Amino acid sequence: MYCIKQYFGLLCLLLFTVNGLPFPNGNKWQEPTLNNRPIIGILAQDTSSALGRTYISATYVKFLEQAGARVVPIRGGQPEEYYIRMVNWTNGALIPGGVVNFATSLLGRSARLVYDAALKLNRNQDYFPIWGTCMGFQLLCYLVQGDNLLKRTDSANISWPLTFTPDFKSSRLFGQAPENIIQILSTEPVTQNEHHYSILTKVFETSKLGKFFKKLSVNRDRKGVEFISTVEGKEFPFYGVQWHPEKPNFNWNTHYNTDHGPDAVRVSQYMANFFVNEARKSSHRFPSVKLEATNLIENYNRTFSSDDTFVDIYYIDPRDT
Amino acid sequence: MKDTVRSDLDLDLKTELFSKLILILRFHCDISKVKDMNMLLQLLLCLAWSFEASATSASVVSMTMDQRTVNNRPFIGILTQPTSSKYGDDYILSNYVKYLESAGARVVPIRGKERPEYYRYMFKRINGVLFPGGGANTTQGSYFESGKAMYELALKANDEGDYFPIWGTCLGLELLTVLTAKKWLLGNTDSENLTLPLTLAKGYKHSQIFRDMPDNVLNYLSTEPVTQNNHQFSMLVKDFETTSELNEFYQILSTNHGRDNLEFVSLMEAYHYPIYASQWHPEKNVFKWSTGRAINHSFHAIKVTQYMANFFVSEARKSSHHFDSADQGAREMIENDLRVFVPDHTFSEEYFFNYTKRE
Repeated sequence: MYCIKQYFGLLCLLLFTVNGLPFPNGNKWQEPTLNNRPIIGILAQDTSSALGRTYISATYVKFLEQAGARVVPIRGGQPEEYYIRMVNWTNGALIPGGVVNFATSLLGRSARLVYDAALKLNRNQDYFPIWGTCMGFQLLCYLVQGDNLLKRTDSANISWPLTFTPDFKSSRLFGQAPENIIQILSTEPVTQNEHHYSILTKVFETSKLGKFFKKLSVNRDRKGVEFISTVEGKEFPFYGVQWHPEKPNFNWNTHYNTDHGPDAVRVSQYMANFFVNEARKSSHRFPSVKLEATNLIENYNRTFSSDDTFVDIYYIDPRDT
Repeated sequence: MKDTVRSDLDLDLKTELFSKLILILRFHCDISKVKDMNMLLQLLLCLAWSFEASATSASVVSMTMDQRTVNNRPFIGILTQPTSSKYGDDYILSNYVKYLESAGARVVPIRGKERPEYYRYMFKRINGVLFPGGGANTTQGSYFESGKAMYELALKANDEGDYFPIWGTCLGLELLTVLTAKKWLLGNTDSENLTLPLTLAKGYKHSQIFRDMPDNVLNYLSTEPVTQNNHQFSMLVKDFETTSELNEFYQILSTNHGRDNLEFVSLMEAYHYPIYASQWHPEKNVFKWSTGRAINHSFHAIKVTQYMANFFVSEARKSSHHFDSADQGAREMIENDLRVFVPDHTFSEEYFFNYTKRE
């Protein structure tokens, strides 16, 4: 029995290879005809606000739009067919940061359904990238592991440079990055961390996560505990960052210690450009221009706080009345 | 080893003196006359130091100047213009807002038909202004008047060492030629819905816009159709060259030909002011999704857009104007205004403004 368990992963890998994964020969994924009108779904998350059951922060919308994508919300609490349909109409998905219970929240369920659909699509040579930021990355880890491996760290409201791993150079995410981007990322405190929990490096190495993801960078919290800060899927176009690439150009809250300088903005643009380029490899499209236009997030109610928080939020699912 | 330490010390000392010099200069700009002889003495001492300082200190100077001026929370104003829409008297396309926001700026509307105090008040609180494209009148009316107010304030401020950049896109370029030449000089061209590479003009390399442009972006701009033109009128090169008010003020950085083969100015910048203008639409590659338009949404086109936005927002970072508080800035931001999205093939999104709304 133990033996079967041991070799199960290997067996799966063998099967996947036969089926044809997105990266059959390491990184040599053949570029299909690019889709220059990509649309990316952002998963809405639970809120206690009176204005809606779920929300999406405009910072994530702007992050993707700046690189030439348009955004549709992926709503919470919908039938399973809805998620399959949305994945087949869009070119990628982003799971944003925030605070929800992975097992019981609307977002947790949406993420699981989108993740399962994306695994299936990619195994069938139908490219579908996923990006997780902060809690979105943690939620991706939860889905890969099937369990919550987070540990408490002292890592909120602080900006650091990344500590790249030896693997970063051979990665899709950073392998082709211009030198100045690597220079900025590895020496300037441009990556804002805003989390109280992390995937510790030692936990990563000894779990399914280490087999599924390649770790590209790590950081140490205020007490010196090392955690994973950037990953990419070894065999799937899935990406995770524990930090917030969208904050330098789009989050103006004066209570946060965010670097808004030109270098930090360049990094945000680089990360968005990379992920939207991944989405351009997907040829999914909405059945009509009308459906495309009516699904875009611009149709939803957006609420701006006219104070020093500059909070700008789309409310997606209405509260039951 | 000792020498290295020594020269580092010198460098620090000079940096400090330069900071002092700048503080003194700023102070005297404010009170406009030298009241304190001791301060004057310090000023002269600093000047002496600065002249003594040679090659190494050149970098120190520029570093100190940059430190003085970099404002990483810039606000940029966009002019509103009249509309016949039922939603408001004036509008701004959200493309221009998203364009500036992508490079790390926040946007406030500059409304039309306001009193001179309003323009002076806003000017002192923002770090640059964008004259957007559209169909407004460029010789009279509210778009012309508010553009003129901001242009005149900008010239005066820049003359006094108070850095304030302006960018004109499409109609914005046309308005700038009218404001500078004080007459309407545009010609009719066949150049609507036409996406082209730029034909670079002599001396482009030393311009502010091109000086630090990476080779790949320069290559996309000059060889691929990444600049979307959408205009019936243009500043013809032949008219530009015979108008001294224009050719002494602006440098042509690139030109293009319409379908009628008439050559027009497609990108220009002022020689002595941070004033820039493109006849084409850098914002459309990334943010305009109307299906009937010949817009290049490729990654190369997006890199061009990001370069242009980054360039102009970096110019705005050199301005130290600011709102009286973070809350005040938040209250003026365009996010407070009515936004209407049209869910059809135009993907049009506009902000609307009413003259009656002024609080």
